[in-house]
Amino acid sequence: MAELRLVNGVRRGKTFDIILDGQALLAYEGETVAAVILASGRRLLRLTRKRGEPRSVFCNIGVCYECRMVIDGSPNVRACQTRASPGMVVNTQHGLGEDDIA
Amino acid sequence: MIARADLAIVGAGPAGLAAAIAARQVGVAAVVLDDNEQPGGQIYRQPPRGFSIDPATGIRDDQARGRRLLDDAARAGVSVRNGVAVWNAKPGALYCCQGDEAWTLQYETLILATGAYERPLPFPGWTLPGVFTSGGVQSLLKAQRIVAGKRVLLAGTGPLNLVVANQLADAGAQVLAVLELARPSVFDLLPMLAGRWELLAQGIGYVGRLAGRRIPIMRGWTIIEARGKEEVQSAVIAQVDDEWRPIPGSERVLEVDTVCLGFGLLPSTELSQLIGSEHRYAPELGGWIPVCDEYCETSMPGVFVAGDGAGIAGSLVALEEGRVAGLRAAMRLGRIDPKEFSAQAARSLARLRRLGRSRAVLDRISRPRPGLFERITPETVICRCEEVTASEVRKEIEDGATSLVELKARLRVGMGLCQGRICSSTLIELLAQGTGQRPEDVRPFSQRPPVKPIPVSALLALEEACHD
Ligand SMILES: Cc1cc2nc3c(=O)[nH]c(=O)nc-3n(C[C@H](O)[C@H](O)[C@H](O)COP(=O)(O)OP(=O)(O)OC[C@H]3O[C@@H](n4cnc5c(N)ncnc54)[C@H](O)[C@@H]3O)c2cc1C
Repeated sequence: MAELRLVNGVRRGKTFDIILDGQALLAYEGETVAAVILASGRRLLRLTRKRGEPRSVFCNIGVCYECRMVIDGSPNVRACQTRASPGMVVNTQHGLGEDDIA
Repeated sequence: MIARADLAIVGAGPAGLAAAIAARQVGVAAVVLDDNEQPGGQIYRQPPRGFSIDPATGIRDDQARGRRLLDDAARAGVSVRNGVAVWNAKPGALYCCQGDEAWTLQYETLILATGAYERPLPFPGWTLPGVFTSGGVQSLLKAQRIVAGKRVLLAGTGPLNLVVANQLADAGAQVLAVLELARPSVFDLLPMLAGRWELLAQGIGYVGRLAGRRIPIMRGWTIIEARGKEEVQSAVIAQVDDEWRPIPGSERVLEVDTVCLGFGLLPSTELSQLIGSEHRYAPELGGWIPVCDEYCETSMPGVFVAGDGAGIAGSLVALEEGRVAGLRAAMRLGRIDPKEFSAQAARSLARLRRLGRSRAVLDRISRPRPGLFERITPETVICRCEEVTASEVRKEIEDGATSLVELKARLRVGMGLCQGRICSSTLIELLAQGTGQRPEDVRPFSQRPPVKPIPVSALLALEEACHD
């Protein structure tokens, strides 16, 4: 679903990779981690603690905390409020994320 | 570290920026703090570094207006500190942090212009990936030029959904329908409001464009369930009665990969509550809102609220309230006298009176009605953070819980990272229904710092703050 990232009407800056669950993923300067992941066609950001349910971005303005992921070793970081940067290591969060820290 | 300011402003949306400009024009240099990386607030959000967005994309209007406001601010000599989260507020002091740095800002006067977020209304499946708020989908599109999905359904009430539906269609998404609760429609009243309510005026244009695109606006319909395994795959929609209760037998199933929910906004009142100003219950303005006089001053002298954080009213009201609050703060600081205040604020005050009248009409139509809560099934998740379902909440209410505090102690609702922003308005409604109290008699969660996530260094400062 590459065309989720619109090409008309916008000029993007530099590209780089982030590492999502061990795989390189293309990002553009200025994009949030949530945007990079959604643009790749993937939605899952974390699995909940009690029921193991999949969750993704909900509010995208930093209020709901549904998009929390393990970013550069810190759990519970909001993907919608975090700018992607070259080489950033992002992992799907399971529950509270304690076991996701390598 | 301790910094000082004659005037501190939290929020760099239309309200906060207008306040800072007005104050600067009468000689008060405000410190403006906003936790976003870009100034402009929700409606005027600017694209991030590295992006340039073509003026022909149809999202240019808001960004251009925002740009003009930011230019006015720059010309007036206002500077905004972006990326700063204010995580606690007390009389005379704000607690701020940015990255690992934490400090206290002591102020003489304060304007809270903290804006709003979308009203969360639970129904089965609303936690599935692919179910977003409409504003969230819009900000992805506006600031990042990313479309959230391909087959999209929008549901809720009010003009924002119309705007977003068109923006999605412009971006190449297939928009199946906009489900609008209000019937007879909000849009029948438009001629009266035209030009007064920016979003609504945009909305009118968009009704026509949706028709041109054969995207139906289904009035008197809403979503009652989202279905799917890993993500949303279909939506069950139903007709509603005048109280917005789903009508049994009217259900239909639509195949979708994306659902946008736009059911109106709730004011962000964490800081005005923490600081201890009085609040009142005004459901038509989004629930509990700070009490203030016509000059935006709260029950605490020198503390002002402006914009959507003072009650949902849109960006035009936010601009005028910001200006009034900025001038009034300057008066409190002794920089202008009451006569000069009256002269300078007269135009904004007159506009606010005019806007207030059209607002009342819209408020009446889009005030959430009780039927919406009947979509909640026993298994529906109410508290997303702690994964608490409606049946768990209802059982505690049957067992005697009568307040949010009791529910919190028994179920941990409101104790997650969102701090009750997502569940509390629904819990108030469930408590009201289950106990026969009026919603305004159900006490809201008491706010606790930090209202924004903070690093350890700030936590240490918090401990000190709690001990004095
Ligand atoms: C997601 C979304 C999309 C919207 N889209 C539209 C639209 O397309 N058209 C339209 O007419 N209206 C839209 N609205 C409504 C519009 O945003 C408001 O009417 C208007 O922006 C209100 O301005 P404001 O200055 O009161 O608040 P905002 O513009 O919301 O600004 C408040 C600012 O305060 C900051 N803030 C809050 N708390 C803190 C804190 N503790 N520390 C630091 N900073 C803080 C916020 O990050 C934000 O930048 C939208 C609202 C939302 C929530």
